[in-house]
Amino acid sequence: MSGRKIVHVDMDAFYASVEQRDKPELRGRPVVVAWRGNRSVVCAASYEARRFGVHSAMPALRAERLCPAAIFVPPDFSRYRAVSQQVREIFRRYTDLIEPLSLDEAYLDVTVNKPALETATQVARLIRQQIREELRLTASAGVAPNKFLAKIASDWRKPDGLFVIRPEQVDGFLAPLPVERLPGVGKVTADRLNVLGIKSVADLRTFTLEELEQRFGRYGQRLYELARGIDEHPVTPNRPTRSISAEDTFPNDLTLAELEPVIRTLAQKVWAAARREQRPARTVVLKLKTPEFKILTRSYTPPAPPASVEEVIAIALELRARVLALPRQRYRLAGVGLSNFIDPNTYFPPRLF
Amino acid sequence: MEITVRKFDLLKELQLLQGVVERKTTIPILGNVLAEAGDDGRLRLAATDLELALETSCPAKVQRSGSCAIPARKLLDYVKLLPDADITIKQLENHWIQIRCGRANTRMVGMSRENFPALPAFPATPAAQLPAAQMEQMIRRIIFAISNEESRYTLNGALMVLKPESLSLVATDGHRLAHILNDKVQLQGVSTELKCLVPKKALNELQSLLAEVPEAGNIEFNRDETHLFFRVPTGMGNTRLLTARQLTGQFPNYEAVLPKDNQRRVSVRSEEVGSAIRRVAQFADERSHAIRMRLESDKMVLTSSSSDTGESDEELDTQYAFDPMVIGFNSQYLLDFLNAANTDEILLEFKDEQSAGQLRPKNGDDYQYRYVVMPMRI
Repeated sequence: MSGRKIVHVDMDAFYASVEQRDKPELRGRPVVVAWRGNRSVVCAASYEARRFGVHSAMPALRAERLCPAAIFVPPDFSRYRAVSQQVREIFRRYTDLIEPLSLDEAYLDVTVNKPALETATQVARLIRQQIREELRLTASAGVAPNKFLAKIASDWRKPDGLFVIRPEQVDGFLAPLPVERLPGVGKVTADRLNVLGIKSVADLRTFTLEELEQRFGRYGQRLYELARGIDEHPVTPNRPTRSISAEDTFPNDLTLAELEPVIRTLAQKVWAAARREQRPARTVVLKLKTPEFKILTRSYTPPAPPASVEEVIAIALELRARVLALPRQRYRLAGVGLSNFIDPNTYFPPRLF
Repeated sequence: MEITVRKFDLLKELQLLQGVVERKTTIPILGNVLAEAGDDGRLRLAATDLELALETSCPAKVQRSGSCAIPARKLLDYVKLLPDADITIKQLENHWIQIRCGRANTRMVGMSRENFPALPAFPATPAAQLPAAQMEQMIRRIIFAISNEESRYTLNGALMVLKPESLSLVATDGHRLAHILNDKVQLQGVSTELKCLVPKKALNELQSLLAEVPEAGNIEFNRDETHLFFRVPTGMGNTRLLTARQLTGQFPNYEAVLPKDNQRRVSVRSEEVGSAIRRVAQFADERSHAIRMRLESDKMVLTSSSSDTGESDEELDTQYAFDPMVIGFNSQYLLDFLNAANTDEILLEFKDEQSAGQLRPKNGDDYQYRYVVMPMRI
């Protein structure tokens, strides 16, 4: 797998940019793509709105408070999907090894590319240029020898930027980065690393594989490799989404009763993410982790796929009620997931009753 | 307790009981069979998953009466491996069970029988007599259509309707429906219409029990507020009792969806159309199993296509004199019916491309049997 050339392309404020492109009156103004509603969350925010601190997945009400001048636009996913397809058409001129992560970002393996361009940088430059000229949208791109570095790189000069990490630059680039930039290092892992005196990737490198495995189990090996810029994960095209989930590890363990607001928030997050899928999800999954790291899951598949975030919340709370536990039992993590993505019109005949 | 049984007798009952024992139970005692020996020369055995219970027995030499709970799966697996000879089961201290057969000697960890749930008793009210052979046939023809989808609770069983002169079963998963009626019977003990929902697992187990009933035998059916009871005679002059918790709730109004004006008819030989569907379905979409059925003047053409694997078509000669049409089906739904119907020739009746189709055997027997299936959008 050595000597790969990976490009990560990330559309800039994708939904908001599509709205601004198609509605000239929105250009230059703070645009927030979100449904109106007490419990709705922001799907996307234009860079004008981000200046006020608005970002995606934030409650819409909070966005409104932060930026009262923002123009709220209800999301139109069918239009975003169509544009996303056009972007993918451009990718396909260069490679078929495309792994979309969502409507607005994808990994491309351009080690071998169709026009036989010498460097991945040239490919990334052309893709960005064609997206700009043909679709009148901007994208940021990262070029690197593997997926995780390409993703960090695309974020480096965002928006409308291109950043390249050559193999010989990997070590120098990674060393000063805070560990939070590594994939999989969230707040909790970062805290555990900080306790060990690890703040930067360079700090992380001072630990041996054994030490990391001892403290982080299987993830220890991944940490060890990431710190050295190693990531062998291949670009996997056409991977259909099997599940989408959102989870949260709490600063203090919570009881089942205390989980309700957490479950609501997670359900909203996962619902927002699921909206990007072509197909509806049929199954709702609730996941809990005890302080002993025992994982419990409960799932439910209603007769028809859940059609609203309220339904997902109701099911997730119902699943919580199915967890038999002592009232004192606490949990360190909760997750809400959607899975079983299928198109009911294609896969099942209509119902008799 | 200390008893001696013939391996064959014990194995037979353990196999039937295994159908009831919950495989992934969270309640340890439910993974056990309850074994009880009295002075009547029989070893009584029972298993339950709390929804379904089976009580049965086999002849035994009882040296000492008593009872114990023995892990069902382990016991079955072990007894299977024993030579065809007498087996002695003896209760030891602390719920240990000793099993000896020939030179094999085993001590198994049992459980206290005190925790084994009490099983409901066959009601004292008069029971209905149901013809065993017909029941078996009827269950076989509808059971496949019962839904496995837990969310549609009332579809997880079949509707059984008893009348003094008819017996019918209906099963559906919401997309297709199997209905069978036998109105050539006289049901003793049934004076008015009686309806109940019998869970799928109970029907499965009942089928195994019915297979052993001597020819022209009847089973006794009874119910109380919560349970259904089937007392099934064995070939050996005794009975087994299957008890199922009734499914409560409203079974859908199935009569409303039985097609009434499906004028376009075509008959095909089951074997011919079954083989063709199986072949064509190889190239159907893997998840939808969708195939197309094109009917035109005196022929039926089955086609499939999948972006992953390819496409296939096959033509059957048949008499068809109505307007041409193309209708899509889940091929598995059609095959399920062909397997269950097990008949020479079937009749397919359609209204149009969107309405439910009806399939039934062309040559009737004692049963009025039909299968209603929704087409797929193609």
